[in-house]
Amino acid sequence: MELEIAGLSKTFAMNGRGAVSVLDNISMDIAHGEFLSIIGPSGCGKTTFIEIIAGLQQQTAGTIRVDGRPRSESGCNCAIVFQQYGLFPWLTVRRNVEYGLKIRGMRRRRRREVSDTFLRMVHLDGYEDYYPHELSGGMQQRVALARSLANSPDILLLDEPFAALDAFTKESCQQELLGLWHGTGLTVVFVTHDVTEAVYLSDRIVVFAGKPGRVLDTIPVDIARPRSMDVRLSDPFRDIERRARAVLAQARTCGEAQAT
Amino acid sequence: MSASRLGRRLAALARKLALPAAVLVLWSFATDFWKIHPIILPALDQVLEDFGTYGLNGVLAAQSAASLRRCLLGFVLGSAGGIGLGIVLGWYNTLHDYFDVAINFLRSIPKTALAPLFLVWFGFGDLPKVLLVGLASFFYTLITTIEGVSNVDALLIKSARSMGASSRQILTTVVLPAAMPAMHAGLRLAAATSLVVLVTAEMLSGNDGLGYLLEQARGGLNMSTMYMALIVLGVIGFSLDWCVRYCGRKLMPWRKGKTIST
Ligand SMILES: Nc1ncnc2c1ncn2[C@@H]1O[C@H](COP(=O)(O)OP(=O)(O)OP(=O)(O)O)[C@@H](O)[C@H]1O
Ligand SMILES: [Mg+2]
Repeated sequence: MELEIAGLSKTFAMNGRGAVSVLDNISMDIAHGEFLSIIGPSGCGKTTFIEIIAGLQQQTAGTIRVDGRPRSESGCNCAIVFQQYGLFPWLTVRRNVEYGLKIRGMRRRRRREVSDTFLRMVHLDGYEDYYPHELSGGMQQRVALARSLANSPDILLLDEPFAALDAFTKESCQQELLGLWHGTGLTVVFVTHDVTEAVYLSDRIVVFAGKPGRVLDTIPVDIARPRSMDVRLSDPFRDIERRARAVLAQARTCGEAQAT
Repeated sequence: MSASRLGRRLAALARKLALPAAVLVLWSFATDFWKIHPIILPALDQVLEDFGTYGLNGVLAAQSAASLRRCLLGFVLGSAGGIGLGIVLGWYNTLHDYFDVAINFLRSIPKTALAPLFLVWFGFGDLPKVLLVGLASFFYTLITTIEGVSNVDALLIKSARSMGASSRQILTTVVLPAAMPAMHAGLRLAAATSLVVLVTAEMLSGNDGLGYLLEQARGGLNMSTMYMALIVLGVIGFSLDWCVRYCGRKLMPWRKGKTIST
């Protein structure tokens, strides 16, 4: 699905301590089936931004349209993977993955097939009956990813989903995500701190600057797909990576300049 | 169960029983060798003898049953009410506002202090005692349930909402399970307090129950009987708490490690 975001702002009232502006006039269009990454310094409003897209927070101003219709009326199926996972501690891994299916009334046998598929995809087969607290951080993160994917979303919002993974698992999850996304028309918004990851995965990278959060620059990634892991050593890849790092460094300094 | 696991369990049991056994040994020493006056501490044999007589003539069983009946009835009814109302008030914030002052005022009155009033109102039978126990259980579970229901991690609610859960589904599939540890803590407080309130009420009036037995023994300066009643009360309180903890473990296998309430 296609997303049009226009003039989006968010201000938090701080219970008598005034108000903070977290997002200021953000506009961007995200095409149907696009893979878009957002990078930016910590605290610049990335999480707030995607939670507003997911409909979990209300913007102070601005509009979000999905396929031309206001977000609330579009009935879009947005899935989100939270930075802190948000797994239900009282459900086993399997039941966590099946949660969304169950509340929509899917039959048990069908649910099981779906959860099996996605748990295998994130390499967690064999852990179906574990509780979240019995898993490592990276494993919990992968359960959260499987849980979102199980709901077969049209728009997938990911908040630093691979931050807690080791390099090897991270690469394998990146591959799986690309494999799952490629050619399906799934629209992905991917928040990350890892510049290489952003370049490798995305069609386009949006760099946020902080306090208040706004779009500092947009960097297209014109590298053919499917991309092998080796593409990261190529010159075009390195150029884009270098540029993204430069803009990110600039985003850091202007955030600090405003804060002081 | 493998041999080594059985061994570990036995070792753990031995560790747990070491201190109680030491206390019993010390007790015998105190009465037999250091000649502590039997009004302060009766001989262990004397207490055991009382267990024998009262056990055989059925008095102990009858009095314990009377106390246990009132205690359980009050505890179960009061807790059910407390948890039920707690869920409603925790979920509907505006409704909570109407009840807030009343609840906090009423729960601040010690339930034992209400005993004289209730005895006047409801006479000498089971009713005032069950009501007092019920009231105590009600408030302990009410307060903790309200806290539990209204302080669920916002991330979990967001998580459910992002997957399309309705408000009702959020209540049943997220808020209630998330509030279970708080409710369980309330139940443990309620169970412990039930016995306190009950024994006080039984000592003040009536003609049966362990509180009555205790009060009778005091009247006759019958120290060994008093100790017997105290030991039985300890056993009942301990068992009650063990049951509540056991149910907690069975219902919440997902709770990690130890917390203050378990
Ligand atoms: N509920 C809230 N009330 C007040 N301020 C908030 C609230 N939520 C977020 N903020 C503020 O909004 C700003 C952006 O927060 P957000 O979580 O969106 O940052 P982020 O870009 O995701 O950071 P990170 O990379 O560290 O995850 C922060 O300065 C934070 O203090
Ligand atoms: Mg964040």
